[in-house]
Amino acid sequence: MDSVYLQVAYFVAAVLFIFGLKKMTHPRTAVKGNALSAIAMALALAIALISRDGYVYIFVGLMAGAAIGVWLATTIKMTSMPQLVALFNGLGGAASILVAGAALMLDPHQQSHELIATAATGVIGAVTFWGSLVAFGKLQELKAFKKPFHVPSQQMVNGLLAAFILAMCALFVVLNTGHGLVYVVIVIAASALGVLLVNSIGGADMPVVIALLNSYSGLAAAATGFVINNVVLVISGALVGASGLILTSLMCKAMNRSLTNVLFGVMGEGGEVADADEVYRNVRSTSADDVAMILDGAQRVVFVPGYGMAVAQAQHAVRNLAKVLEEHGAHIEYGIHPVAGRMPGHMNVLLAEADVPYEQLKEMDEINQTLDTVDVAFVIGANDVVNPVAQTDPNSVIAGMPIIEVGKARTVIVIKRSLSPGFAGIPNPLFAADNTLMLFGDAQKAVLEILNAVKENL
Amino acid sequence: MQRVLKWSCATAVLLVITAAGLAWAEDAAKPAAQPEPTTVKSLQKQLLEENAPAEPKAKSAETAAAPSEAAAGSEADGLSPSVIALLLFIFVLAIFIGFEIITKVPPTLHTPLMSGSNAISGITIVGALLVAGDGQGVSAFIGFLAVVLATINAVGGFLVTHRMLAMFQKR
Repeated sequence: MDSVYLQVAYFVAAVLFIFGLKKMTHPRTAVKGNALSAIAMALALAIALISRDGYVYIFVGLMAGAAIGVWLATTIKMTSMPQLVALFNGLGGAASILVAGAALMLDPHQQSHELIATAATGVIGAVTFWGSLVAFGKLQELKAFKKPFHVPSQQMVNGLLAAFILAMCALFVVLNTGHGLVYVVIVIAASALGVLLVNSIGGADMPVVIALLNSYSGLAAAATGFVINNVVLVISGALVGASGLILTSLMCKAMNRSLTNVLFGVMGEGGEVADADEVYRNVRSTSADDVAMILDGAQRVVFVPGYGMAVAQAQHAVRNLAKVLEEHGAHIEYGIHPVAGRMPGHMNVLLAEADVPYEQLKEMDEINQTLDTVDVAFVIGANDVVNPVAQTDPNSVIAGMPIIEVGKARTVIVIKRSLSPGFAGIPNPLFAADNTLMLFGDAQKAVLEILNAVKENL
Repeated sequence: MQRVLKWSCATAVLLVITAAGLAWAEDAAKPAAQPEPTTVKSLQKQLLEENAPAEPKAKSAETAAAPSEAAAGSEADGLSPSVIALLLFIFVLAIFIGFEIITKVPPTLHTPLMSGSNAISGITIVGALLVAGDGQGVSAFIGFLAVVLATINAVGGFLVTHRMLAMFQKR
């Protein structure tokens, strides 16, 4: 390979990545951290360009990629962020497959460790790419992905497929001539596995999948690093892999489910599902005017957003309502459940877009400690993450899942389109609690109505 | 906060030194005709020397152990197995650093963290550039495609992350 200086320069880039990520630990320094990572990338790119003769089409590729990247990044709406992240994950995986494939064509007589790395890149890259594409389709709500297509005895098919992939990888390494055809077979089989794995996952489990695919895209890059013996790929790939794994485990914890449980689809076989009609017998609905009356004189108001807020794009309306209440002396906070939305941190991004101050965004554990002193708690398009059954019924499918305990607030106002169940498919007794009022309707419209009523009142 | 900074500085220094060692090892491995024992032995010595000032002995011993372990397999594969061992060592170390840093990221920043780290995984672009230039015909085209995809991933990822973070920073 190249000279010592190039290697050291690659390493400087890798260290810059580490510092870039370190600065991501606080909102004030995060912009700098991201810039630092981008500089590191530019540095690594420059080194790669220097270490070889320039070719026109490399530059064409760089320009084309940069143009598409800029276009996607600047035109995407904040509400479409989960799709974009899924798409970018997939592209990284695809690039890794291609690099390992091209390296194999250039040097079919790879050593066995390189062959292992190539096979690993093919498997991880293909699962990442196709898994991400399916995730993208689901998040974008493309028709073809609305319902998972049915695969008879899916677990077994997945298992057989995985075994087949492993066997092919073994063959690939044993053949020892870097057989291109076997690599292609591995990639195709892993593609099928990627599609099948994500196919059955949906709804509230999406944050886990996105985080996991994020991790895979990093691991694919690291595996590619082993193929071409490049340090900076190995280090940055490992960093991303670690980051994705941590997010994955955080998301699983926030749902009190294991990763295998999420990946293999089925929610736990909970005891008997309570009858919805029975649970909802005492539901009381309310109107925007009544809500405005309740808000009059409220000292502490907490908003608990869920995926429904994202769907209705209600974040700006919520922020405006909060502003008006704030002007009249109310203390505003937002309680955010880790798995609210479709990717880790989804709600925070939406609220930040609507100019909600960072200090008002409270994590679940923090807000739970003070909820009993809250006058009015708004639940906007959230369901399972505020379902008290998680704490009261040990046989429930969501038993043990940490929730935001809005029921402790003096008055709970739930804005929701209907009484339909959330992803867990169980009724929510919170909606029928004595201190709960339901305001049925589209989140954005409902909040705007409340806002108008409040303005008239005050 | 400061302890973390110091800690990561020390790790960074260690990493850079390992990199130098790695680069050196590759150079040393180049004359493949040379008998293996000399290479490994001098590599160990070199690593011990280079690591000593930055980290206590335990770390250097750990570093040195990797190549000697790999020496066993050296007869089967012709070229510098010590390099693979070092790459593995670096990989594991980087994962630990990743765990250490990322656990401190607040949930508020999880989405930017994800898109930002995803942009970092666009580092495959380096590999893409290396293979795109070398080949002809099909492999060159595959390399070209990889360059395009990795560039979208990296450029788009950093930009969109910046967009999000700027919203958090506004105030």
